Amino acid sequence: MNLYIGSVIFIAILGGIVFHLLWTRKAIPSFSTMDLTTIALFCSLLYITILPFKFGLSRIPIIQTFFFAIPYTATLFIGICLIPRAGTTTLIICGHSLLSQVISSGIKPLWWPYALLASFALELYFIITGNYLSTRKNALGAGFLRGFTVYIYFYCFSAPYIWHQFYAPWYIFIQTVQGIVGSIIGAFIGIYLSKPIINAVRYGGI
Amino acid sequence: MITIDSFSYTYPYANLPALQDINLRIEPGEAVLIRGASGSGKTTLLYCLNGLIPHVFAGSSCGSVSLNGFTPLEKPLREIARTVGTVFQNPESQIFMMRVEDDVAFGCENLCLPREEIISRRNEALHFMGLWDMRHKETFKLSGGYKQRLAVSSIYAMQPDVFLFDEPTTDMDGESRKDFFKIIKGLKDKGKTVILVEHQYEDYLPLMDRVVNMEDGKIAENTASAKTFLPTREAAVLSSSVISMQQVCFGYDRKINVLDNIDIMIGKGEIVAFCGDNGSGKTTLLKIMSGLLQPNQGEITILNIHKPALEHLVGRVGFLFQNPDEQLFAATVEKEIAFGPGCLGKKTDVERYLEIAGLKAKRLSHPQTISRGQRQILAVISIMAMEPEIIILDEPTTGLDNKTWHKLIALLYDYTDRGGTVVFSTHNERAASLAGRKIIMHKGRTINDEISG
Amino acid sequence: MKYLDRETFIHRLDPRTKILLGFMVAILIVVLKKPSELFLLFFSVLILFGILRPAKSTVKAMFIIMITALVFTMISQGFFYSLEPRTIIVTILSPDSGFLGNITGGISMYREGIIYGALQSLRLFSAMLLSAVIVMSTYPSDLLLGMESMGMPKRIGFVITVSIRFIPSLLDGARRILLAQRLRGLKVKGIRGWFRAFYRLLPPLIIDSLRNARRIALAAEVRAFTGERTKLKELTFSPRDWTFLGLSTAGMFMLILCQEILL
Repeated sequence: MNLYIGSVIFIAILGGIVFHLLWTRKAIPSFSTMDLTTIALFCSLLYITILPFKFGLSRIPIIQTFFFAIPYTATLFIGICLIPRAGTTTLIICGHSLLSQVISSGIKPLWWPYALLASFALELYFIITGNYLSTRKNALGAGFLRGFTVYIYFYCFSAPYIWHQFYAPWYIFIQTVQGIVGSIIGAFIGIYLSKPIINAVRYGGI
Repeated sequence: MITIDSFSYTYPYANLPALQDINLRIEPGEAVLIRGASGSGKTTLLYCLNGLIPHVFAGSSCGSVSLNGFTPLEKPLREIARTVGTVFQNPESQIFMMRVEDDVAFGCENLCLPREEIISRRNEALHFMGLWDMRHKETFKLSGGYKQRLAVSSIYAMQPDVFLFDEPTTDMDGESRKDFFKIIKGLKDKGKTVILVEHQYEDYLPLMDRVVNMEDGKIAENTASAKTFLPTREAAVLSSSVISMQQVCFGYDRKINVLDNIDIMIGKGEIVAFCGDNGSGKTTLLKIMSGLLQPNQGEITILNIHKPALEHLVGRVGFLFQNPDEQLFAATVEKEIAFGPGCLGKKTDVERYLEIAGLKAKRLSHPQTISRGQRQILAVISIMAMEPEIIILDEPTTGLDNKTWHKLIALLYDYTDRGGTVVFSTHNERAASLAGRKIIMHKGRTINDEISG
Repeated sequence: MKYLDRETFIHRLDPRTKILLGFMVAILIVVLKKPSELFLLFFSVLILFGILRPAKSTVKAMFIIMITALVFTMISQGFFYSLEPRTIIVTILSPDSGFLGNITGGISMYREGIIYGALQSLRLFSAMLLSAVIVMSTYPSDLLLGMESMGMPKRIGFVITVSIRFIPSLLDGARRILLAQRLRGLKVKGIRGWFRAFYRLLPPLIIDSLRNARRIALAAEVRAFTGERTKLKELTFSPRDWTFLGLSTAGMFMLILCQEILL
C-alpha cells in the first residue's frame, strides 16, 4: 500500500516538474476555443477507436495488449501532431479517461493517477527533446516511453497495490514488450496518417 | 446601425482578397438578404459583422466596419456577442447542452449575467420560440427543424439587436422552412435587424426590405439569380427495367413501417427524383434500391437479381451519401477517381473523368483542399468511374449553389445518355424539376408519380 | 452503463456526495485486507446498486462482466500465486523442462491462488458496481458540474461536454465512411482487411470532424464562450447529503479501525 501512495506522490512531483519547466521557459500554453474543440474531438475519437476492441478477438488476455495499444497510440499521436504544444497530450489522455468514465464505465478515481502518469511522462519527454513528433526518432521514443510507463505502472503498481493481484515477472515482461511494440507501431501509423491531414488543414478550407 | 466603408479583407495564406471594397449601410430594424454563388464572400461578410474577423480569423484588411459606433477590433468577442448574434447552417454543431432549457441558457451563462437575469431571459426565449413545452427534453432527440429553432433560441436569449443567419435552412424540408419564415417574421416584428444569407431564398423574399448581391467578393449590381438555361429532360422511353419493386414494406423497428406498400418500376436511362419532407421515407427507399437495406415484405428486383445482397451490387450500383467528405479517401484527386475501379480490378480513363469534372487543374491536390462544390462533383465522378449501371444520390443538392448543381446535373444527363440510370432524393422543388420523372412521397407512400416535361 | 431516469434517494444526492463516496470506496479497496471486510464492502455497494432498481438487461450485462472478470482473475492468480503454502493442481510447464521452464520457473495452477483470485475480485466488483451506481444516478452535466466545483478546471468541463456531444455523430460518420468504402469495392475481410479499414477510415473521419470542430468552436465563440460563466444550476448540500456522508465516513473509519485493531 505504501508503494502505491508513494507512486501517487511521485506522479504529483512529476506534474510539478513539468509545470515548473514550462513556467521557467515561459511556455505555458494557452488554448484557443478551436484547439479545445479539436482536443474534444480527439477524446471522442480515442473512445471510438478502442470500442471495437472491447469485445471479441482482442479479449484474449495474452495478446490483447498489442491490439489495444495500436489504435490508441495512433489516434493520440495524430492529435499531438495537429496541436504540437505542451498540454495537448495531458488534455487528450485525461479528457478521454474522464469521458469514458462519465458516460460508461463510471467514475473511477483509482484510474486517475494512471492517466496522469502517462500524460506527464510524455509531456516531459516532449519538453526535453524540444520536439512534438516532428521526426520519426521522436515518435519512436515517445511510443516506447508510453508503452513502457503505462504497462509497467499497471503491472507493478496498480495491480499489486490496488487490486492486490500479482503477476510473474515473465508475464509482466511479455505484456510490457507487447505494449511497447504496439505503441511504437501506433506511433508510426499516427505520424504517417497525420501528414495528409495537416496538409488538408493548412491548404484547405477547414 | 451598421456601416461598412471601402472594406477589403484577405484571409491568411490566401492569394486573393475575399472581400473587395465593400460599401454597405444597414439601418436598425432592416431585413437584408445577401445572395450570391458559393465563394462570393457572403459568409466572410457576416464574419466581419460579428467580430469573428478579426478576433478568430486573422488576415489583413483595410477600410472600416462600424457596429453602432464601435469597430469590432475595439471590443472583445464577448461584448460584441451582446449586440450581434449569429446562427450557422448546421444545428448539430450549435447545441452544447444535453437539455433544451440548459442549451438556451448557455449563451447567457457565458455572458456572466446574474442568475435571475439568466432565468428570465431563458424563459422569454423559450416562449418566443415556442419551445416552452419541450424545455425538459433531451437535445439529441429533437428533429432537425427544432434543433435549428433551439440554436436560434440560445442566441435570442442573449438579446442582440442584430441577427445574422448563415444559410440556416439548407438542410431543412418544406415544413421546417415555413416555421423558419415565422421566426424571421417574429424577429422583424420585434424590431431586430436581420441579415440573411441563403441560396434558396425565394420563400423569404416577402419579408426582406432589401437584397444585396455578391459576386467575387464585391457587391454586384442586381443580376438575376444565375438561371442558366438547361434543357429539361425528355422522359425516357421505358425500355428494360433496372429496378422493380412490388408491395415493398420496411420498418427499422418491426412495429412502425417507414415504407408502406411501395410499387415502383424504374427503367434504364431514366432520371428519377424523389421528393418529400423529412420522414417521408425517401432515404430509406433509396437505401433499399441500392441493396443497403433489405425489405421486410414485398418483392424487389435490381438489375435482374431478385432480392440482391449488397455484395452482388458493388460496382454495379453506386450510392452517394449526403456528405461528400465522407466519401473521399485518397491522397490526390486523380487517385480518388482511380480508387473505385482499382479496388474492382477495372481499368479506367482517369483523364477523361478529370476533363468532364473540370478538375484537371486540381489533379494533384488533396481532395479535402478543393471547394465544397468541387468535392461533391469529385465524389460523383469517383462513383461514375466505376461505370455502374445505376447511380443513386441522397440529397445531392444540400449546400450546393445553383451553378454547381447545374454542373452536376449535366454530368448526370451525360451519364444517362450513355445508358446509365439515375435516382436521387431532394427537398428542393427546383432541383427536382430537372429530372425526367418526379415521384412525391409522404409518410412512407408514393402519392404522385409524374413525368416532367 | 447509462443514466437511468428514476427517482431514488441516490438520484437526489448531490453529485459531489457521490464523487466523495467514490473516493472513500477507492480508499477502502486499496486498504482493506480481510475477506470478511471485503465481503462487507461488496454487499454495501451491491445494496446501493439494488436501490437503483436497474433494468434486467443492465443487471445481466453487469453479471456477465463480473463473471468474466472473476474467471480471469482466478486463472491469472491461480497461475501466479507466489506465497507458501501452495498446492499444485495442474502443471502446464515444469521448471526443469528446458529453456522456457528455466525462465519462467515453471507454470502451474495453484489451489490457493484460485481462492485468492476469487477473493480479490471482490475489490474489482466493488469498484465496478460503485462507478456504475454513480453514472446511473447522475446526469452527465450534473456530474461535470460537481467535478468543476471540486476543483476541475472549467475548460476541461467544456472539452468533455463537447466530446460527449461528438460521440454519436462520430460513430455515425465512421459507419457511413466504412460503408462508402465498401461500396467502392474496398475489401474488409480478415486481418489485412481490418488494418486497411482502420488505416483508410481515420483520415476522412478526422478531416470531416475537424470541420465540425471548427463549426462548434465558432458557435461557442458567438455564444461568448471564454471559460468563465455563471452557473445556472447551483449545487447545495442538503441534510440528506450530510447524513449520507456522515454515515459513509463513519463506516469507512470503522472498517479501517477494525482491521488495524484486530489484525
